[in-house]
Amino acid sequence: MASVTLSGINKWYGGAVHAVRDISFKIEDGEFFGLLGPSGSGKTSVLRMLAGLERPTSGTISFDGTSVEAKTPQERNVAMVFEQNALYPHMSARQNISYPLKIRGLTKAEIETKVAEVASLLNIGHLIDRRASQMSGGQQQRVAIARALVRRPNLLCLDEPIAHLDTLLRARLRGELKRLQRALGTTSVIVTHDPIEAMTMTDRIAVMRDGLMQQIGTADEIYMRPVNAFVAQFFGLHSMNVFTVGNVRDAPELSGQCGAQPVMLPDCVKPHVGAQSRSVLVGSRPGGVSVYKAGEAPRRGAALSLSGRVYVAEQLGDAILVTVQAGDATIQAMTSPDYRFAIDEPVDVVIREDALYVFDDENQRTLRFASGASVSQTDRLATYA
Amino acid sequence: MNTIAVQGAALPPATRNRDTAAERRATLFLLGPAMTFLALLSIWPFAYLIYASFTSYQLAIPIPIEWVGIDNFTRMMSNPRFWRSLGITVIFALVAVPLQIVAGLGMALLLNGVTRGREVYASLFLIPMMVAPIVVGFSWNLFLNPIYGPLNSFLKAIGLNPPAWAQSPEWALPTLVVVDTWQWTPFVMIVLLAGLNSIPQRVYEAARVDGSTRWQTFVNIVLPMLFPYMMVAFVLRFIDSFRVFDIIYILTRGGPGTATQNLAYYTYDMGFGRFEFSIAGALSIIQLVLLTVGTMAILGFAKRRDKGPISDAPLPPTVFNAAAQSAMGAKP
Amino acid sequence: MTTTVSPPVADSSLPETETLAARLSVIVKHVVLVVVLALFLLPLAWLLLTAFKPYAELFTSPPSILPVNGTLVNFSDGWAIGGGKGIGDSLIVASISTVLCLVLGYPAAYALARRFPPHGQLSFTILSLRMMPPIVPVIGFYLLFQELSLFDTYTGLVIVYTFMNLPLVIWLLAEFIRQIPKTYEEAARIDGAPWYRLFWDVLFPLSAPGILTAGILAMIFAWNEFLFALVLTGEKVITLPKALASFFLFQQPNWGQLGAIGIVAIAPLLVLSYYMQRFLIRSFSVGSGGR
Repeated sequence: MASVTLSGINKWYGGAVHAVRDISFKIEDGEFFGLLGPSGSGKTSVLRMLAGLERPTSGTISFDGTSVEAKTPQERNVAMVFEQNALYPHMSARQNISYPLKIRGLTKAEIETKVAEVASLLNIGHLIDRRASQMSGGQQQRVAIARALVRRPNLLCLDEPIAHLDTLLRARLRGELKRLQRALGTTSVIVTHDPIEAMTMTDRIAVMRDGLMQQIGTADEIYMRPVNAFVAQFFGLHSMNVFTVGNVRDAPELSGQCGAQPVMLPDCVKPHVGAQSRSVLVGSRPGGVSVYKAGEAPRRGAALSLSGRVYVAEQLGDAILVTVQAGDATIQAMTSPDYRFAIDEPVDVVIREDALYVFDDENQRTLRFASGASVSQTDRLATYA
Repeated sequence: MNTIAVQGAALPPATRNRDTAAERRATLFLLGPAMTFLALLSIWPFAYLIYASFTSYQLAIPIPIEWVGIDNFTRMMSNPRFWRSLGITVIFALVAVPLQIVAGLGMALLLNGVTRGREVYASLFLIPMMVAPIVVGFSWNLFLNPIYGPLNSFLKAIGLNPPAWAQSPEWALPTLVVVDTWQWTPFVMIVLLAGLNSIPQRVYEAARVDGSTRWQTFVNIVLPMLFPYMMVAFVLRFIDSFRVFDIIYILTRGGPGTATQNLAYYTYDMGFGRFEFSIAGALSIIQLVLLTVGTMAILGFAKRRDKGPISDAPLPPTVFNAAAQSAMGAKP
Repeated sequence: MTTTVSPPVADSSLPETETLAARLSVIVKHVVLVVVLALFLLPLAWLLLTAFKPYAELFTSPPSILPVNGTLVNFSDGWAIGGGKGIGDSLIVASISTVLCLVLGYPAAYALARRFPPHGQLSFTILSLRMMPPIVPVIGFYLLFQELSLFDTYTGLVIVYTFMNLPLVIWLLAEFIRQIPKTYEEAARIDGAPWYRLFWDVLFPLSAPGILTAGILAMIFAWNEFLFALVLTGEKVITLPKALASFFLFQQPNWGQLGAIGIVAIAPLLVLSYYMQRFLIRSFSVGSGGR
């Protein structure tokens, strides 16, 4: 087990594709670390460089302070679980699990003990003599995890290990993986495009986009205090509503327009309105949005409010996700299941001040968090180093 | 702790990725032996071939070898035997190959009509193309023997007066065409069968729902979808038609007279019948040029044709098709 | 019929008469197929019958169809007059050249599959060698072999057959290796396998079907090849096709013996026919990703 430090990592493919741009972060010993991002964000490249399958174009990687860029995966003692085709198809589960041990020249007896140990840990004893083709996807991934863990790696790399499984199984394996990682204390990195996977399993998460690091933090931090509009929209079960209010005027009240739709704005937005553009980028998670029948919205100050029509209402069981088209903006709201909205029904949308995020109109950085307080200058410049 | 994105270095690195040098060495190490072998054995004999075809190289007559330039080529162009053998080669390409396509299509459709035992039928039909052409020629020799062969005995028994087939000046060439067709139709059949397999059932169902008759379905849907496969079969058989030699050697030896001498046989006869290596060498080079030009022309046609409504039809990802595609891509 | 095949769902809803008509049409198709097949294979069937006929029965007109006094003597005589040597020589040349093709071809195919684009120039150049009719290079080979004293040697013929088949073998193996997910190799690297174990433990087992196919094809082509054998060998090396041709054309032929030699020459191929049609259909089919 080891702590892993990356600093100034760049990866170019063929001089044209800059897949990873100047990434630096540290994974603590025993930590479960998530690399999250949409496809093409460079997260897999980072993982492959950690594993030793690829070399960074520039920058350094060190395990426990020792530089490893020139070392092979075996020298680094890393293990990896792949998205699919993870098992050697011509070998049984037992042969698959014992293969890394065989390579390392362990005796038959040693191999047998270790395989039995890890097999019982992962509950795959009954599968041990099957081949990959005789196992379900979930079983295959279990065996692949066993193969990765059997040699007690310094670093466990998980490349979308459960992305290909069906929903229920995925949920179960999420929990299992988390418990397993805790129990073994193996430093682990998981690459995923699914925020839920990252949130539920890991200790800390790095959000990437276009090869750039966006934010590193715990799930809570990133959820509550996303650094920019991209992270805000990407992170979470439901995407954050982010939309531009233009034509902002001071009098008689602070108000603007969303397309042709007039929008009432709370005062807290005022300092963030672009001096030139007279517009502001605002956001709110669906849980912070309330929807009322047209004209029934309570007149309470300190809220953003506008009118629109229901585009669609989706029944989620314990809640309804209402999508409202209001001017140019599409706003989703999580409402209680008591009232059924009809399609095209006129509604009023209200976002309370304490649920409102404000982003920089130009670079999309977060200027104000929903917690209420505006971001201070020091917060904004805080770095992960 | 929050992090603001840091703009990464936007310029490509001055040095290429560190792993490429090692990878290139490995590639060289893996490719090297085979490529050296192939290069050596293409260039070395080819140098001899060029040498022979531009000199007065004769094995039988010990005259001093002189550089004669394109003399051998011009001499050949004025030789009617050359034109005759070229004609026979072209007949093979233009008669036997379409015949094989048509017969192969028929067989493929017939086979596609049954599900049970299809593979067994297919493997039995495939036997001729697996058999050595020499054995094929020999079998047909026995089969067509004017006196002791079963075919002529049968034809006589029903009152006909059959020719001597391979020994008859008029029938020798058609006989060879039939034998070649017999041997290679199965190949076309299997290519087109693969093509038919690739047409999804839903296409037929959609056609039925649209009210198309079976004939309409065949003409408007099946044939266009098969076109790329026919093209692949045609190109491959066209290229192979230049190879026809073994069955001529054992069935007619180019005769009677020169009735069945194609370019390959003529070249062989010049080189190893008369030891006129200069002439044979020139003939070889001419064939290579003809084959290359012919193949490019067909592929060019196929490419133009492909721009039509059938461009959606998937091309079979074969060895040969890939070659065809890259040949098309290689054209300016 | 003892086997029960569940009928297509659509059929069960059809009226009885239509099912009957459909069945009848299938039966008709089978009958047509069997008749066509029988006619189609007549020349080879005749070869087979000839191989079992005693000398006296060969030269009767009209010929007897089935051998009246069937005999196996043609096989032993055919073996004695040179068929045995033919089989031996063909086996030697074909198997050595096949092994050479695989040994030279596999690494090249791997490099091609993993480092070069699927339909790139290099692949095309390699394959175009295969397209060349053998009559083109044969004169160059003849002159070269005279120079190097390789004329009429096993070595010479092995070299030529390897040259002839190597491009196809490389191509086939490359196509096959391309279908093996890279993940397996990466997993092996992560597991710490050195390169030779990567090949031995992972790549070879996974590409075994491809190796088998390429090997069988190389073997068949070498086994059947005639022109190179005719031109590049003399009295010492006599492969099966060459033996058959020269006995037939230049000696007093006993067709029965030659028929026996011919049958022996094609017998191994009959065994492979079923395998071949599967391979061919698959390799000409679109989207047949799975192995």
